[in-house]
Amino acid sequence: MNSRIKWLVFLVVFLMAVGFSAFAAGTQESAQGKPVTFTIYFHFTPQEARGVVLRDFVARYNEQHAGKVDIQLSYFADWQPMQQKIRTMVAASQPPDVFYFNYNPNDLTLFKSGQLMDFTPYMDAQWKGRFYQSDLDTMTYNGKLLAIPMEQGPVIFYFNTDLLQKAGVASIPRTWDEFFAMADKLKAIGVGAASLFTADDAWHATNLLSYFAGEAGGPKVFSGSLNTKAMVQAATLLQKLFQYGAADAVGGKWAVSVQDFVAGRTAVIADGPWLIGILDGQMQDPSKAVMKDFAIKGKDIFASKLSLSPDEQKQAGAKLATNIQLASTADLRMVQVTRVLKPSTMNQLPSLVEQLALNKMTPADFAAALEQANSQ
Amino acid sequence: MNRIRASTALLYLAPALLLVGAFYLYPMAYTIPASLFRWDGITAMRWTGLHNFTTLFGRADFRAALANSAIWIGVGTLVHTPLGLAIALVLQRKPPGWSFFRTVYFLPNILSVASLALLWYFFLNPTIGPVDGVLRAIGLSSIALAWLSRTGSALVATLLPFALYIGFTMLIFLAQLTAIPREYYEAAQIDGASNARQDISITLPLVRRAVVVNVLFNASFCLKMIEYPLIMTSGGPANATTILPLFMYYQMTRAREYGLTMAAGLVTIVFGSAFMAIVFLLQKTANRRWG
Repeated sequence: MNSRIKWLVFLVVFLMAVGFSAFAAGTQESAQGKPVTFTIYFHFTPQEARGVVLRDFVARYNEQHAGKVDIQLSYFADWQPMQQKIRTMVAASQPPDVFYFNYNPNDLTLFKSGQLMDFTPYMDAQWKGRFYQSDLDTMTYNGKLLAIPMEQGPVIFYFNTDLLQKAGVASIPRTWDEFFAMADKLKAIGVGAASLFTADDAWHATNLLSYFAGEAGGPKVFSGSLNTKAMVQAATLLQKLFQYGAADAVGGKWAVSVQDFVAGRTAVIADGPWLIGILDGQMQDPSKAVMKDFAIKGKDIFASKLSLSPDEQKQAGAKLATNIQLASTADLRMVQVTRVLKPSTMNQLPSLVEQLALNKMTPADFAAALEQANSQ
Repeated sequence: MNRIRASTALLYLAPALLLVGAFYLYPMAYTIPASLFRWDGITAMRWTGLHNFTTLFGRADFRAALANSAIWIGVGTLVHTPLGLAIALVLQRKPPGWSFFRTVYFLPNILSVASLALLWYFFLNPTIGPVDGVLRAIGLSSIALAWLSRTGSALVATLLPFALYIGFTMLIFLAQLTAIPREYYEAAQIDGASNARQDISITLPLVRRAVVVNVLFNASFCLKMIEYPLIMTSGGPANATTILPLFMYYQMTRAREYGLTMAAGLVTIVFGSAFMAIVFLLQKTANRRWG
């Protein structure tokens, strides 16, 4: 698929940065005739497609460049501890050679550290052509390009069509009203509508929250205050959706939420494309999981405007994705809400989502608390 | 001679003093100035004075952590310690199978806390855990709670595994009990004292030092332990199970508020020291009474 096709509805941006010390060490090794060694800090599990691809790619690269370059992989099973380690290393002026992190406009500490290499001299026209200029501009700090976008992807809705059929839902919903009608029918057969969890970054819940907010306030909904009418509406829908969630949603973690979907305890999960490989390996009948993407703003919010060809699906190693359909309009790009939250707000997010889910906080209070935390 | 002894003693003590100084006293002292700054771990530290402390006490999650830690210590002191003593008193009389039970009670202390926390997490899970499954199977669906997902039950649920460590408390009491001269009990038996009377009038006063040791061990465990709330509930729901170490861990790793973390650490030190002072005061009072 052409990487320039603007099919990104919902951005999950991982950045790749190179530590300054790695560059210096690499130059030294090269001058001494030794193979240049790089270590990449990453978090892709061996089960997910991108993890398989990266490991394979690095192994082949090392084979082809034996004696000259040696790329080593340092795998972290958990994102958060990896980020903590990276920050500690940066603080100690010993940054990792290559590492991933999330861009957050409210947390530019890594950019300010002075420990990241400037990509500008190496960014020729061909390489530059692979990125959106707006993204490169965002990664540029004080005139230096300190990181490059490594991965952008949509948050996709996976539907278990088998469960939908059992609940008497004829087709995949096309509006939120239809979505909640589906939730009612699923509840009647003892199945949760959507996989949700509240621990850590409450990823699945905040994916839904972001979609709800995007539908109510448009793609720029998170660019200003978070205490908006759109956010209140979104929180109202999320609170309602928790009533249709699995019993372990409150307090649950990502793996629990995924397992709820895999085991058929919930019929829908909103996650990234990386889930394909995991579902493919774990679901009894992966062909029952259909991926759909929601467009934002517009009557037909579940409209599909772009489909992957069978060849593209094969390339993605996605046997289950028999019906990948993604929205394509460029101006639908928006950022997941957690990507604009300050670290201190992220710390309070699980508690806020839990209070909302348990009806201990009103949607209006939720939006106000989120904004208050993020403005401190 | 005295000078030689002193230098020899110093030589022996030096490695320990160096290690304690470098890795315990210095970091502990460092929390005092560090708590007066705002720092994200990478960019320059900014002086904020006492702002971190006013922020801390103004925050509901910190107050919840403080209250929950006090509950943990309370349970450790008022439930855990007496239960450990009760078991020790029973096993001391060597009933059938006492050796087996002594081993069984102590076994959890050598297992990984993280593994046990995971075990309890799945044990209490509402969808795949056996607890709710059994309750539903026997027609008690109304009390088949999502234990870890409700604010009313989550703290109790995370406290339940605490019971596993009763073996350690029991062992300290057993060691103290074996040191009590048998003659005291024989004299009491001649006077016609029942088992209960012997325990109250002889055993309890003579194991009070073990009580103090156990209470301090339990309080220390409660102020250091992070695994159970972290793994079982992540401190939720709605901060219902957040305790001081977990609060600090999140402030450092998620919020990246290092100054606030130091302030919370300092409060924890003061909190723990105040508790210790109370325990020693009570011990002193008991010593005056029982000699």
